Amino acid sequence: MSQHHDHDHSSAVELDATAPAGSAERASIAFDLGSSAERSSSGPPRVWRSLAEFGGDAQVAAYAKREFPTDDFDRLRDVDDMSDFDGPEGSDGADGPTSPGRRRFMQLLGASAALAGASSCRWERDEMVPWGIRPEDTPPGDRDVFSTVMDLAGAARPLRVQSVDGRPIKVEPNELTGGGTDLFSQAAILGFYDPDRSHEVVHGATKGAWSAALEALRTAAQAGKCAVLASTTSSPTLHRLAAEAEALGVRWTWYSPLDREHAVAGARLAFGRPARVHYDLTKADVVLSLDSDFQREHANANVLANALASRRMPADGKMSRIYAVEARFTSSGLSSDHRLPLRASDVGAFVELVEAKVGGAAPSAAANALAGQGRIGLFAGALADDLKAAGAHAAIVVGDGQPAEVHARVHGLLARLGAVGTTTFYSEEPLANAGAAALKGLVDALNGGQVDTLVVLEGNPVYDAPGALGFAAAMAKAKTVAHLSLYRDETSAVALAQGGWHLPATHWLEAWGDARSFDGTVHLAQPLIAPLYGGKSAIEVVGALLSQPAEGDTATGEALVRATFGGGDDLDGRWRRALHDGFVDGSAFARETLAAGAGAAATLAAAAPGMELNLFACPKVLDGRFANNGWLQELPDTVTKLAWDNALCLGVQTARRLGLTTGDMARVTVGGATRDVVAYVMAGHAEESASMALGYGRTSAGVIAGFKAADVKAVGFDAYPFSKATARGTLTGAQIVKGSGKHTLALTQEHHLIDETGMEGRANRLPLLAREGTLAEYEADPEFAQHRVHLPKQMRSLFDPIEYTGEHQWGMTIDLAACNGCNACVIACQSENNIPIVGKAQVKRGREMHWIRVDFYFQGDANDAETVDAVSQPVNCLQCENAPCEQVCPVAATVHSQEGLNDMVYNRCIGTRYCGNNCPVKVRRFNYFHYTKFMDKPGNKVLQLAQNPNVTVRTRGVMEKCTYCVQRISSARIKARNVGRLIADGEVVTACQSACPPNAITFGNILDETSAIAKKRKDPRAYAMLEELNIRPRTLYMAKVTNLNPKLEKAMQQGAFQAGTIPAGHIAGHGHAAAPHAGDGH
Amino acid sequence: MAITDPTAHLGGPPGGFIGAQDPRVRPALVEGDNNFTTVTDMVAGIPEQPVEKTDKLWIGLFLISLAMLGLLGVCLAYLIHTGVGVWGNNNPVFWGWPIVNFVFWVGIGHAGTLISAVLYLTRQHWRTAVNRSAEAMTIFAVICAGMFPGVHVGRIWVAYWLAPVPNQMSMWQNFRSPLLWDVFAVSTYFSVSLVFWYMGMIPDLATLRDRATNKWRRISYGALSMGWTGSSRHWHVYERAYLILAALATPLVFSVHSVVSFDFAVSQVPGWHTTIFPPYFVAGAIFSGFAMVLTLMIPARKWFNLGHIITLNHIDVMCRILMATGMMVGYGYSMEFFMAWYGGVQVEQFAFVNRAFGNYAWAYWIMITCNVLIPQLFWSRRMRRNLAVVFVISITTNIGMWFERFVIVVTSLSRDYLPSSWAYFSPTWVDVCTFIGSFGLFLTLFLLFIRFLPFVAMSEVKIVMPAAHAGHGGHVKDRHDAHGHGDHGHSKHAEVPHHG
Repeated sequence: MSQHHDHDHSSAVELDATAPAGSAERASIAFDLGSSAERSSSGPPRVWRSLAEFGGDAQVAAYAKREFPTDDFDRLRDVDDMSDFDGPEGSDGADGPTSPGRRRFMQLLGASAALAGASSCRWERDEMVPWGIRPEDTPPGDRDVFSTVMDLAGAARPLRVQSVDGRPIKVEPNELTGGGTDLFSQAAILGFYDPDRSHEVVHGATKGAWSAALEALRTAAQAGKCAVLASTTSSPTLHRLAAEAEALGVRWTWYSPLDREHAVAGARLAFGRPARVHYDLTKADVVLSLDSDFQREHANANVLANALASRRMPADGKMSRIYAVEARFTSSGLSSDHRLPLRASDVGAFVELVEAKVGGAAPSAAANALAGQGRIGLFAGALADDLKAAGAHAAIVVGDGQPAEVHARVHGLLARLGAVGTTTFYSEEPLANAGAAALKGLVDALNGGQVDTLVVLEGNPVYDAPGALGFAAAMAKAKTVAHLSLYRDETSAVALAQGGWHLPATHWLEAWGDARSFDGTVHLAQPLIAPLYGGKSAIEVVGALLSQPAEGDTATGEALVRATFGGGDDLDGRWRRALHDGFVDGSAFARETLAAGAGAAATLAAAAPGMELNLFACPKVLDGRFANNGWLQELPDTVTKLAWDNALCLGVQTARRLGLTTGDMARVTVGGATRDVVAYVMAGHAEESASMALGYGRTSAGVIAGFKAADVKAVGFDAYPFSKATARGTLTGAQIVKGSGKHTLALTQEHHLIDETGMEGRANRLPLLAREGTLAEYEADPEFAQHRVHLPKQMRSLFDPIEYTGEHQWGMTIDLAACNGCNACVIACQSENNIPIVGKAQVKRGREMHWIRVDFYFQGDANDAETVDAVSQPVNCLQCENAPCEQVCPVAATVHSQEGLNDMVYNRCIGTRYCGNNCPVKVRRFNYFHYTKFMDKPGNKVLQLAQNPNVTVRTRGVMEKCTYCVQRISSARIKARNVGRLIADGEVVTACQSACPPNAITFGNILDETSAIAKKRKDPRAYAMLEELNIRPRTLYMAKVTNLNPKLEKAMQQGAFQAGTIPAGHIAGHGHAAAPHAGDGH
Repeated sequence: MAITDPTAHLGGPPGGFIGAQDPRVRPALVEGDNNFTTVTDMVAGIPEQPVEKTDKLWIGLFLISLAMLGLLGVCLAYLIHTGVGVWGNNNPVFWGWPIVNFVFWVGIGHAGTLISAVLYLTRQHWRTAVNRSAEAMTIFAVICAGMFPGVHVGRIWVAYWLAPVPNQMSMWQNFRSPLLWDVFAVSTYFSVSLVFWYMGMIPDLATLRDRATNKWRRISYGALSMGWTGSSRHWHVYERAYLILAALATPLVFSVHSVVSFDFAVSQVPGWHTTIFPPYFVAGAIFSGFAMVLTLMIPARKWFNLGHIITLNHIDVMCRILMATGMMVGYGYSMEFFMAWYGGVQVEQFAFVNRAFGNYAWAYWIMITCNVLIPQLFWSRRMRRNLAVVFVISITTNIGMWFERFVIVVTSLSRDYLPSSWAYFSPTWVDVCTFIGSFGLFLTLFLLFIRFLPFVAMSEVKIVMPAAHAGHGGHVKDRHDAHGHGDHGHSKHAEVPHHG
């Protein structure tokens, strides 16, 4: 009401002045300032609301005196009309001239009562509406944080999602359940806003509607012979609905290429029932990774990576020792102290060897033969001794691609070592029936004509079912097919071609849901925004199919999830608590210690001679579900540094034998399929073995990953056609020959493509960049890393040093001992800082934009895979105190803040790129084109919503780089300043730091003696990279320490250098560099 | 033409083999049976050619140059419209061809002012035959050079922020940045060179004005000659001003390329951070500048029959300078290697080994061959006087000097501190076409210059002719013809500084 008054009074004069000719008389009265008889003797009022009042017009004065003037001052004019209409009795004077008459009053009263009744004639609606007008007390840029969860093929990723003005902006870990996120969670923001997502229900060739689709499916399902093929999920609600559906006679199948069916089968062999294997690597003194990239691919990768890293800090007590036995180079090999390149199909025989040494049965002939090859026997012996010595504190992680028998044998081995109950324990397996075996049953049923209606809930089986199953052909046998999916992908295309339905699915950010993390804890997913494109979740679709259509939509996601959760009206607040925290306390599976039975001694299939082909889920796009995510496609793979492609990875000698080099096309024949794929020669890859990532070669993904209909070429090569029983795993008897032609790859880092001069230079300086030492070296001199380079005692600058007077001085440390190259930091940074993708052609030109990158260096003799080792080093802007970039910028676009940040002023930058040249670590990135311009296209505007409003979206022609997430520092500073305190330790967490699962990155105020960063900087392992340039970097690295097995240290040397052979850097002068000196100026 | 001792320092008998000549007597600078009239006719005849009788060769060359200039226009329009990504520059190699071309053209822009100013101050009279065209070459080369950094910035529309003009941001530039020094150095050099060139041309423009046979020529040359009458007062002021400008321009010759070299030397990129850069860049600039003068003069003297003014002796002298500066550059190359080894800094050592034996070795050896090995041919007098050889070597020198800049800029950047960020640079068609286009700009301007302006400094050539000193004892039969521009010629003699 008050608003109305204000408005009307302020506009009164205006209304008078513009009144039509008929009201001119009244207007003139109103303006006659001196003529009124009622004018107060004390002169004109000092406070007045209109000129008429000021002038003392009687009518106005009477009006103004009233306690409740009518809403509309202008209606003064209509008084006469009103009395004409309503009769004089309506005005009794007290109500004033505008009071409605009795009849009018009754009319209005009646109408209001009628309308009030009508407003209840609706179903209750729960609406999510965008902020057309900013509500009070919501300053722009403020974030709401919601707990939610992402399910990845049956393993939940508990998350907190930041929302700005009602749109999800950034994914963060749910710190209540553990730190760090994987790159898939980080990239979900882009996937959510993907303009290629399906926008509508389609039926055959025409646009459909949800109601019609659900009605049609319900009818078809009720006719019987209905099957559901659901993408594997851990959602308790969907599992509950599946059970209900099965009870109604629906055939329900779970399938995803990521199903851990070998592991489940292995447990079944060993224990007689399905069980899930859990590891507690914090208790493991010796870790053996068998053909497993567990820090990137395991369903519980984050937790495992974190636990593994926690035992790699020499200052924190006993270090673990890690062994990796694997075909291709993985994060396990990177983290390991000793790595054995071994064909995946030989892993079983290797397990036999270790088992025999530990005290099991004599190894088979095949295993003995294997022991004779290269240094395998030596490695197995040393490893077995170590495992035995570790006993209960030994852990063995087996890759999901290994056959069930190997899993079973390892269960037996772990039992023999006594590790069960300490490092290893078991629990129930909720996804025991998911996998390709179940899918085969469905395919058989389809082919046998037992299925008339097939509902495919998410997933993309036409693309990602094992090639040998012939799923697409089987699907065509169903009469009615519906596919619920985020995209109109390959499966949708086939479904629509046979007159079926495509239903747009919701993204997890816009739907209610639930999921269980690997340890069984239940997490709730809540929508942060209304569905962008009117989709429905799998839960909602199944709910709608199961329930009779009532008046309206009762099968809401929320209702269904709450029904699973229980608790009714939530009187105890459990539901709200779980929503707030993001998890249900105490819902984890019970830990069990199972005894391995006779099945643990399952006979291993003898490795077939010839080449093998290992198919694995790509650590970037997984099984292909994230293929249309540009952030993930453009991400350079940790090891291969390949962006925008997958490739057939081959060992160096094998490639040479086949006459292949990186970029050549190879013709691969295995399991009846022959395809031409590009070869990539990978140092450290086992010989006579090839590996290829799944998830590429999409033909109906979108404009990023490939879309035949729009003539967008597929990114990479489809490996599914090779697959037989399961999507992942090893295929033996592969035939690989040189194909014709080449395929250009976008590599962000040159490896073996470097000429001899370059290799030599690289080998010489590597020990000074990513510094590594053995535990023995560390014990002899904890500061060994700082002594790698000899520096003059005092280094002077040509210019006066900048004085850092800020009350906070920011610094970062990156721990090379913890980093496993998982790339989560890269994507987190991309999401936080609005970093554009540039496309394959631009990456090929070396113009990728990542502000943080993970450098990866192979070491050792590439010709002998057994000597190959590697080190990874995340590099972002080091925030040099004496920054070379600042000195050369002619327009002062990059300058230092008082708090030690090397700020980048985008508005000031004219793009001379001199700073980029002078940056010794080459972290500056230049916008060679207007990379963000595509977001202005009408179809792509939705991507603008994904941009962080606190960070400038850069235009073409400016330089950009990491600023330690200065926007987060500023937000924290505003809060701290408002209450007059300093920013507390841990209050600012950079995007990379927060995403890092093994906590390799520490950030904070180095002036605060008690802060985590200050402690890290005092760690003797801390060193400043390129300190000899007198750049005084604020980012320090923590040297990696390897815990070598004395038996293998000399006998099986790996890497370019070993203890005692480290070339010291000759810089100049004498003496050692002082301890890291950032903040000296303060 | 009578030969007497008093003018011996100005010229002995024309032509002839050096062995056959009295070593005490310098050969004449202007050969053949030439006098003031013939010199004026020869030089002024070119711009005075009626438009409709323009040489077919000139028209052909001009059309080719215009086409190349058009190519430049297309490339620049595409660049400005699309972004600097149309070039091949990438993440470690943030500077690619544009900066290579910039340094290349600035280097070429050295010879003109060096010839005009330094050789003037050191009384090298042979300079008069080539100084005008060399100066013009300088101006045009610096225009080409200045274009590259101008368009190579990411946001071309705010490139003016490099200039210290008052602005609403109340911001100064960063005076620690060598790029800013570069802006000042190149613009100062350009403006002084331009004034120097133009001022030196005024007496000759007056000659053209006086000889003009139509209105348009009278008006345009009249305006350009700024009311020159040739009075003693004019000559006096002119000579003083010329001397002062020469003195001003001389340090600029050395400073501009020193400052350009600071772009590299002041940074800390291995292979750039070298104290030898300033002198070695200046030597390289003179080297390339003289090569370009030769490249232009050899066809021009033949085309316009200027063989008597730009004589084989001139060519010979320039070849010697070429060889000398080539060896200085060679010394620079070897000294860089020595210092890298002697300094013992690992990355520095690698930078140089990588230049010679890394993945850009091909560029390095092209550079060494063109700049160090091939000019050694000029030890032979026969080679110095074989125009075909000289012409080819002048071109290989320019190729070599372009590659020198390529080696410095691209090879160093492509492999600096972190091996993870090493990358190979390859140019795009826009890089190549922009470079070709810059030659279009240069040649268009140069062709317009030789067609419409006095190609040789007539007044200065006349001064070094024996006839100019007839009053000092020599017999000049055609004294009256010496009036370069009518009656005012008399006073000129009076004001000629007496060198002796």
